[in-house]
Amino acid sequence: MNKPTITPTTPASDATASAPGHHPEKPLGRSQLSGRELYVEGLCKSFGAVQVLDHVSFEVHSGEFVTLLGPSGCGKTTLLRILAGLEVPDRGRVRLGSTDLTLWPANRRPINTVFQNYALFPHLNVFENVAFGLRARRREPGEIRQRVLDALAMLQLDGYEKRAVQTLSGGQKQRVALARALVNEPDVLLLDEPMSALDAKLRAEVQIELRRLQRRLGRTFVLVTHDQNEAMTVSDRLLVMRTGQIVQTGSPTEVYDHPVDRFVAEFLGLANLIPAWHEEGRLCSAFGVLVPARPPGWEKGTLAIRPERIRLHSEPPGQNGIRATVAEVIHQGTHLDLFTEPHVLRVRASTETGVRRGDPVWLELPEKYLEVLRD
Amino acid sequence: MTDWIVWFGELTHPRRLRVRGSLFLSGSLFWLSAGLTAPMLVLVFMAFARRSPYGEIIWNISPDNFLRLAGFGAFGWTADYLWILARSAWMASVTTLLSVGIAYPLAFWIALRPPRTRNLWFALVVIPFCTNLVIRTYAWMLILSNQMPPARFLQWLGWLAPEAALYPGAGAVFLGMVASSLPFAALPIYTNVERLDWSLVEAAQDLYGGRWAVFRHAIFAQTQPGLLAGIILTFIPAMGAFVVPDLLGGARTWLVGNLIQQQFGPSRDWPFGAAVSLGLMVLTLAGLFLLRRLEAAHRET
Repeated sequence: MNKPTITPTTPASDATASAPGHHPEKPLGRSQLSGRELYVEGLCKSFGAVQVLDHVSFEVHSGEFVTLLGPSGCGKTTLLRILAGLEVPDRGRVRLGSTDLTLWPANRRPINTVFQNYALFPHLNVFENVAFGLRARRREPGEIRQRVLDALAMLQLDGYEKRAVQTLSGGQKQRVALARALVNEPDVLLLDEPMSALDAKLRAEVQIELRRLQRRLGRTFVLVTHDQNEAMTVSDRLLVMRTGQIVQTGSPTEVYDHPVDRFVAEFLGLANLIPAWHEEGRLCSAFGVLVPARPPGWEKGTLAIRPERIRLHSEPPGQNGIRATVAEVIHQGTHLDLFTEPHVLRVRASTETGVRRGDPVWLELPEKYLEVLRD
Repeated sequence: MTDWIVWFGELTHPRRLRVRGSLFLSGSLFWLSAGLTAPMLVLVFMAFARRSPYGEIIWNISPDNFLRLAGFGAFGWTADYLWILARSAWMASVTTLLSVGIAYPLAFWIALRPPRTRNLWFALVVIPFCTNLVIRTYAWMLILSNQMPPARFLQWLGWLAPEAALYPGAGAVFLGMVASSLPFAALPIYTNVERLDWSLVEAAQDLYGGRWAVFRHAIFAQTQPGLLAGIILTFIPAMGAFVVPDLLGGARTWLVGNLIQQQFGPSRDWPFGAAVSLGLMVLTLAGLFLLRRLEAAHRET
């Protein structure tokens, strides 16, 4: 049995607490700041000649689970470090409600972080690790004890109080790191690739647990990851980043179904990319004339379709039909992956299709799933 | 079923492995027994022996040497020898404190240099090591003499009498001692600092830690092993030091090192020298024990 002991936040209960000029230490108290939105406005950061962040702006609603998704080197970790107060931006602001946090040091911000390698203190036991933030803020010993035990119970770590952190498994360490951050009841919890040290099976479990925990606490979580599965599993909203800029924002479904450009389409899941161009008022490609649902705004660009959206037929379909031969069939357990000739397309088919290598097929690219991309 | 086992990819028998193991160990066992245990035993036995008027060793067992070290002589009790021990312990402690106190920030400073210059700075700390201790100490004597710039400067300021030198004196002794033990203190601390996990510093800051909490939990706790090694490596040689205090202290104050050297040298009283050596060892071990206790107590809290 888990008691939801960390109080869920009540939205915008005390907006007056953040009047300008008031002492930064004070708003760290219980639920005073909770329910406030996080605003990031025009952040820029360069390391030497390399511009890591280029005018990044977004906002995170209270109680929202947002994921910064992008390949390594896209600036997502730097962005997270700026939110945590471990890095100062060259330009731009970070606001929590109406309070400008940009120049607040990390130890004053009502924001806590779960670090990539967990960064647990090796000379302190589990209890003391979790109690660290409360002790640093000089809470009453009785309150510290109660809140630490509640936090440990919430993460199924009861009975581990006296354990040395070195003796814990990766998953347990991660839960200690979560408890250590959450016990402070932060307005925003930052998670820096927290799953990267876990094996694939455990990772999948932890992702679902994390999602449920966030729902129950109603707190704002900001996760950084390069793992698109993880991002799809946990987030309310994705911010896809590339070379220091946010290229697309939206729910996992929106971003997956309607990627704005080639980069997003390729980064999130699998996509067949088809170069296309206008010729005599029609959209042409190597597969012939294609008709997407939405006419493209460019002269020359790319069309994309997910492998599971392509339909197999034995007869020519009405529109966007392609004659092809099955070049390879890969049995993936739940489905088949087909690769076609002469024009290579990846097609996901049911295992009951019974298609074999060398079979001639008709492929239909339904117009509503044919996405028009910027290059 | 015989108990064959696979050992490093090789099929072998436990008995054969035992034989091989003892063969492997025999070299170091011989070295330890011949080079450490045997002389130690000789020292212990000799400490209970007596010296003839002509300096020969008379092998009869008596605690006289220890009583003498404790101050009970033919003319009643004096604290002379105990003072020498206490003075040595004090001097070693101050030297250790100064050396570690300088080495700790120095190690951080070097570890935070860019990699290219880091090795250069580190080499500068270690290079004095390559010179003989006596020569280094004579160099200090030269630097601190009355005609050299440091003394001249202080004479000009009026802090030093005209024509006076900066040695012999307690200041010169500590300067020489710290200079000779700094590499011993800096090396282990530096290797520790170089491997520091700086993410703990960020974690401590993220968890509302102030300057002191960040230092204590994220930096000090991690450098504790290096600090301990630095203290031990400085304290033990400093306890037995006699060359530097002699040359820079003007041979006016005696330390245990002087005392032992005197007994085995000019006085030709080997049994008493052995007793003093054992006394020094007990004192040093007591210091190490105390240090361990302190560290254990720190870890408890």
